[in-house]
Amino acid sequence: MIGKTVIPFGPQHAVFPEPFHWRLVMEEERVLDAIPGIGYMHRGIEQLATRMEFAKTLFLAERVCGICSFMHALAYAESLEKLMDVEVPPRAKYLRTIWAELARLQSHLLWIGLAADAFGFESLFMQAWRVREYVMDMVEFTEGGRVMTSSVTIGGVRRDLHEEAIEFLLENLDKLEVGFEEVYQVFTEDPLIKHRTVGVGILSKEDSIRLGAVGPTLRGSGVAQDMRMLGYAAYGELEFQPVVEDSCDSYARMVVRLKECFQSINLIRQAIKKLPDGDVLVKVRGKPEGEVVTRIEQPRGELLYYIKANGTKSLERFRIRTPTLSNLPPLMHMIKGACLADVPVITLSIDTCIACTER
Amino acid sequence: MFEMLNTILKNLFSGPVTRPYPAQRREPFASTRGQIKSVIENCIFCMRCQAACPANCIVVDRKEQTWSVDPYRCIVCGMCVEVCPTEAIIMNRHYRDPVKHREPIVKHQEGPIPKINPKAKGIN
Ligand code: SF4
Ligand code: SF4
Repeated sequence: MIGKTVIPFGPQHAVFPEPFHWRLVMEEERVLDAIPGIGYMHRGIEQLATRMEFAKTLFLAERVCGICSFMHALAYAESLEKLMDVEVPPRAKYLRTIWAELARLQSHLLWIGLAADAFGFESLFMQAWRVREYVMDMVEFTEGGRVMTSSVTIGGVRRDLHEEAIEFLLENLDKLEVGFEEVYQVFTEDPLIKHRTVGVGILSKEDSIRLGAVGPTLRGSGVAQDMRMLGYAAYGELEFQPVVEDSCDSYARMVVRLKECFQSINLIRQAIKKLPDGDVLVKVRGKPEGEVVTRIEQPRGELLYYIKANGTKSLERFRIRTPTLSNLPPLMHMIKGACLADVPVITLSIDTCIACTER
Repeated sequence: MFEMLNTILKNLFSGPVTRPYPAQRREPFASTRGQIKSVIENCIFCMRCQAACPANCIVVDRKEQTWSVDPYRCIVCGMCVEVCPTEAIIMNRHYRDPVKHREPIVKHQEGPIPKINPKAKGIN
């Protein structure tokens, strides 16, 4: 009988794009306990926000995360609009929806590529990122930047979609759908991928609720919770249902993300069809005062913004709770009892985003 | 088996999807925010860009008639371009070239400050 061994896993590890550290207490091949260590990327953004002007904090909020920068800007703008009683023009709401779905698409496709890479499936990784390039083109064409888009502002959006841009979007969506269909088939049919993910990292429905999982992790355990159903931006006027899978394992979480890509393509098409005319920006005057909580569905799950303002030019308190933080306790639960070789796949299956967790 | 044959044939007869990079470069879209450029002749030194910049990288000196930006701090958000009343800052779609030394870009205006009425130009 061998005693317990502690294996450090990360912060530099081939499968993680970001510094995430596990201390794995092992008994032979089995993980008995997993202790996460985070804090390698703390940048003090929340503190800095209390010293900046609130209008400029938007750009700071956008820089919380490199993948879902748009979502952070959106959450910040929505929060301040609630505080300052600003009614955003309908066209701006639709544009926000279109861009939020593009952000979700690029994030999911990025994850899909990374997951393929973690399985050792290099060519699939390339294919997923090739398809992702259509999304990046759409983002750059319509918003002006590939990653930091700076297209949302308090009171609306900073850019409008003209005819040419809409044509470009529709054309690229078609190409994207064809390309993604191929990637989707490989992911759902390939026996090797199934072998690595089916039955790995089980999180039962009860556990997922008890431990507070969010986003695709929660929906992969059979709970139909999606913050978009709250109807922020223009989601209230579009038709969709949360994507839910019941098998509660890494495979289910993967399939949720894959299906959400089709859902996003569909949502963008719906939004373009219904896109109303009119202004995209209203002038915002005054300073914010009061407290507000905003919940937004990020690609990784529910993003929560808490903002407290006291009528001065900077905020009094700025608090962000990112989906990865909520998904860490479920992840610790999933890893216990797993094989060492499955730890990377399970950790990836919640789509960790460490930069925004540590802010 | 047939599926595999399909894939092989497809790959044989279709070219690469990547670009042969240094020979062929990707052109940024017309709407891309690449870098900001100053048109110093138009500047009336109103300091609006300095106040609006979230990265605090613009310094405007009315007395000396200089306008400077630290391009390595600039986050290319385009706020200065939006607030400038006289189109003295414009957005260029090409990204900044790499450099060896980190220096701010300083522009000096000769002669008297132009009298451009921001409202008359009908900008913004
Ligand atoms: S683009 Fe943004 S960061 Fe750069 S100088 Fe202008 S306002 Fe400042
Ligand atoms: S806003 Fe325009 S005119 Fe005013 S100081 Fe800046 S560059 Fe000059």
